[in-house]
Amino acid sequence: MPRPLALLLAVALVQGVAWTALTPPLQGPDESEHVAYTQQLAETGHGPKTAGGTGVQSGEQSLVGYGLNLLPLRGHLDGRPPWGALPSVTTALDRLPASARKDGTGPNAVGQNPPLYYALQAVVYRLSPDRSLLARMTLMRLANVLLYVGAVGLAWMLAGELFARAWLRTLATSLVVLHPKLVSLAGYVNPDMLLVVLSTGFLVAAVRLVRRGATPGRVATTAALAGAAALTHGRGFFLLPPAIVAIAIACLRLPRPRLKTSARLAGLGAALFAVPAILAVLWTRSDTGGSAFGGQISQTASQAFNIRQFASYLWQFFFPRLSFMDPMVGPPYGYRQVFIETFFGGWGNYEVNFSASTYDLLRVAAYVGLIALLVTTVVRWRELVARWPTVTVVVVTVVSLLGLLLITNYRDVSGGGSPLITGRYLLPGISLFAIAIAWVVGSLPRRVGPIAGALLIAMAALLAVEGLLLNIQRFYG
Amino acid sequence: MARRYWILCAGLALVVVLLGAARSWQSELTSDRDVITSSPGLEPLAAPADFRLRPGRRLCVAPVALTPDTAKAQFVLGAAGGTVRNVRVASTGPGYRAATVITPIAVGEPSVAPAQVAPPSRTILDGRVCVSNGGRHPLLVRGANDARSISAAVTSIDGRAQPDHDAALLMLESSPRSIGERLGTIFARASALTGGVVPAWLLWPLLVAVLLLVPLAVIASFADAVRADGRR
Repeated sequence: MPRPLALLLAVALVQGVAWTALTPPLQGPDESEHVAYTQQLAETGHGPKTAGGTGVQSGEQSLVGYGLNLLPLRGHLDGRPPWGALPSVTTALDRLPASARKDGTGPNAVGQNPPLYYALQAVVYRLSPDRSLLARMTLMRLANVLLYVGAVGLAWMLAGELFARAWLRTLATSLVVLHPKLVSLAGYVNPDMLLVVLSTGFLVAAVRLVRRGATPGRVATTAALAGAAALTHGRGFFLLPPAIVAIAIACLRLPRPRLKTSARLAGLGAALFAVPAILAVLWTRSDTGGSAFGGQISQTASQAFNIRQFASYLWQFFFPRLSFMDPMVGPPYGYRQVFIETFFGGWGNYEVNFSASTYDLLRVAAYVGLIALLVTTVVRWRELVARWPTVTVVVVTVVSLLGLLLITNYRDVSGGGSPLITGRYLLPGISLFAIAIAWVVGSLPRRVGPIAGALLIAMAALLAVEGLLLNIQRFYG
Repeated sequence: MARRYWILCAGLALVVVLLGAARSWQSELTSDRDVITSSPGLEPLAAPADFRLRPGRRLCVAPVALTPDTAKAQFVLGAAGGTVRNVRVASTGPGYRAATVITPIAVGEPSVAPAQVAPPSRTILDGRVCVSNGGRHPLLVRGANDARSISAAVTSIDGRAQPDHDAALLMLESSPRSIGERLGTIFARASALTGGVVPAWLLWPLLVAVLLLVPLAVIASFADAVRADGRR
């Protein structure tokens, strides 16, 4: 194993364990619901219902959540567990009957999620040598840490596909390791981390597919990873368009005659995507009263879509409103909240944050970075054209992710709902974010680039560690 | 030249980390802040639903966990109509009683009103903390009735429970302290919440590793890569 990668994996492990241990249970976004889903699946073999049922969580989880005040304190900066009550709650937990672990049948808002992540966590739950819920939740979080370490390894492999220079691979992977939101996610029970692993793995497979040529193995890996993402979360469907594009490009580049081989490969890819995707649809239908993914798909298909209003919404999401535009639909929630504040910070239930000045600096840095990316794209245009298969896969992946999130969010706010999109949902594209930065920095003059990269890494390390310290202050201060 | 170059990269990164750590990490670790021992009642996340406590009435929150390091009870109080004097905060439990009269509450929106209470000698899980209006004007007590701010402790007025309506109440240590000087306690509590999976002693080297290994290892890996590229 290359020495830089070994060091980065060690850093990932240390950070992940620290976030796991120093964040009280159930404090991640929707973590209570994700734990309840896992426990219900592990104890009964069934997922929780989205409507009806005997309780959002089991009696055991309720005792932990309310006895230690862990559920009410979510989102409250001044909220703390009653530390003196820990021993009595632990004793009470030991006395609960086994049935108190099985009664979290719903209604659970995340019951609309497909089962892959929860099935993996259910294995961890069942294998736990300690049967207390606190211990089981910690082990589930540690399993998430392993996923995070895996995502770092995959980010290294992706960078290895795209960069010949070792320092660019290291820079890109370091920015993934040190991303303050991603590392926090390692310390919560949340399927988004599996989605990050699968999407990063998908990108490795898809880029290899278009660069090295179509083989049954490469097509199967690409399609299966996209399918596994769909079996992890509804948002995982964003990998379908880039999977189709990657397989199509690879087939187009086969030597002639290619029709028969292409048809076979496309069929293989379609089958390997369709099986998990259909499983996801069937599973979520059974838990949501007959409508897959909680009715989101049928709702999306049936709802009217106003192109003009969407274009105006999209503009105002990123830029100030122009004079001829109607006011933005929904609350004023856009680029800063999604791409800056909740992408880099907003831990716990969004109540733990960097200072406003740090967010301002990140915002300026993001603007500078975007301009630099555009300039680099223009300057290195010929090189990009020469590598069009890889560039196409990357661009389609980014557009698909952002498109899915923005269209879903637009439909939600135009229907009178609250914005659903948050920075965490961008994390499946974290490796591309890091690759883009490394590519821009690698385009700087030879003697300037590594220095800029070193400074970026230093600042990323500062943010990553500060995030953990803010988290300690919030929960234990 | 290549040798000097990777040293230059590592050195610059190290300087930035040291400067940033001195500014932000040190502040997080050493700044004194109020230490909350429990939060029986939470401030609202939605619009406040304040209690209007008429003269002679008493509002209580129970159960409240009272530990030997709990030395302050902090309601959020305001006054309507005129300054409220003789506001009494009492903290009680089996074999324990402490009370104090706090400074008069001036007219206005509720603001934090810490009251020093003598700590119990042992941990009491079913304690009760009350605020009594001994003045002539109504006392406003910050309250919440949004679902996300309702905790297990129940608020009552003159013994009558107020369903789904909680008074905000924090229990605090006597004086502000930094997290740096409380790391032993913090690690013990964090470890307990992991169900003992992560032992408290492990958190010491883990925090040191986060503060030192994370920046140094990342910088070292980058410098190593720059050096390797320079050799080619």
